[in-house]
Amino acid sequence: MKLTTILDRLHHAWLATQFTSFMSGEDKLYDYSQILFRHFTWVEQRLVQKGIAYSYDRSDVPIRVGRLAPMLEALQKQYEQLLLLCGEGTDDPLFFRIVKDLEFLSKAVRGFEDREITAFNGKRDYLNLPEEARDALTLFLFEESYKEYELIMVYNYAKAHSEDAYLNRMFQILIEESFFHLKSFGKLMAKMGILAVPRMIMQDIYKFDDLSVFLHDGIEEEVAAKGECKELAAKITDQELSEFFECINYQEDYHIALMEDALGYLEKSEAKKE
Amino acid sequence: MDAQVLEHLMQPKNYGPLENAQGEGIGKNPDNGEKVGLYFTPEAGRIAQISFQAVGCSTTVVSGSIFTEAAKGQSLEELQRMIDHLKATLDELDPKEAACSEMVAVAAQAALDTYYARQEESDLPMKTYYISQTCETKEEV
Repeated sequence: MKLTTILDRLHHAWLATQFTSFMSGEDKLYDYSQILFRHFTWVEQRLVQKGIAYSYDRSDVPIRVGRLAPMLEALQKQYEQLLLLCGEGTDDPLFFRIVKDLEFLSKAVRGFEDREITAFNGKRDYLNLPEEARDALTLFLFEESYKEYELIMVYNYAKAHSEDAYLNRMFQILIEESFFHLKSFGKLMAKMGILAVPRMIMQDIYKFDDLSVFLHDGIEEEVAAKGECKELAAKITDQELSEFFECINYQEDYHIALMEDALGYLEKSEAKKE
Repeated sequence: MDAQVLEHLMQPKNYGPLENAQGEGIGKNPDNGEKVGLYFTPEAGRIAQISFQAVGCSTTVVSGSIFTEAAKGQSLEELQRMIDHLKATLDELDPKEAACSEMVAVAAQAALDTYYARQEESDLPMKTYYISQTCETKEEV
């Protein structure tokens, strides 16, 4: 079995499943997508252990459907193709686990009822927001859903290549935070009728040479994101949504604190080496 | 927001790396790390395959999507004219949008220049150009 191909297909299946949960509102599918993401990280770990070069490059993830049934069929097909790749009857504990999960998922996706999907209709009539707020929210959702996906991949790659417990704890927290944000933004995009899988990430974004530089840039981006959240919260007339963006704004504060801590930690580690 | 713009945001055309691209270049904003990579392969003097990748805002993605879609099937001379035209229209845009569109233009220029340079020496690395308010490109040192 070719590990890099399996990684690519798992990446694809994870995103397809996650975005199907956003378009359908089925939380179980979100849980399944998290299982696939874990498979993805475990296979990635195997690649790192074996010293095999890999990337997060992937093909498009087509998700635009008018009804749920064809998307569920597509998911089932993806799981079955992965089953063939991972090798049924394998005695490798990692792939035995993945195969058993995929067998379960292939059956489970058949259990969801077909329905109309409006997540791609482009109507943007959710909450009847005034035009300025609607456009601002639209741009924010496209930019920030990409950003959250990028952060998940960047921190995931960094974690796969680090054996430092302190840094890995921070990476894990930031991955989990970005998953929450991506889920929140994805659900909103579906309600707005503008759901889309974030575009692929350029390799040099996650294969960086200097973590300190990345953290410095990351802090600047978090500060910018805070500003955008504040601006958006002010433009949105819906109280619940406005409060949600204010909450995201405060969450960014903790991300900044974590990254500043990590910068201090890196500086101390460098000083010790000298 | 225009329905076409929304469509490019939801599904950018020609997005991603292009394996064995003969023309490839990077356009960078030196102020904030945003950048565009643009790649193409011509056949019989015309752009047969073209793609781009972007680290930047929505305007950059939409510009890259529209530009690469329009460049498909064009001759290399026409690609140069498209780059010149895009640069010439930057003054009509607001500064942020101008910087994003310029990044696509300089990435295309870098890709085209890389392509021509590789006709002389095939293993040259891709060129990187920075955007500037005056729209003049300067090569990375």
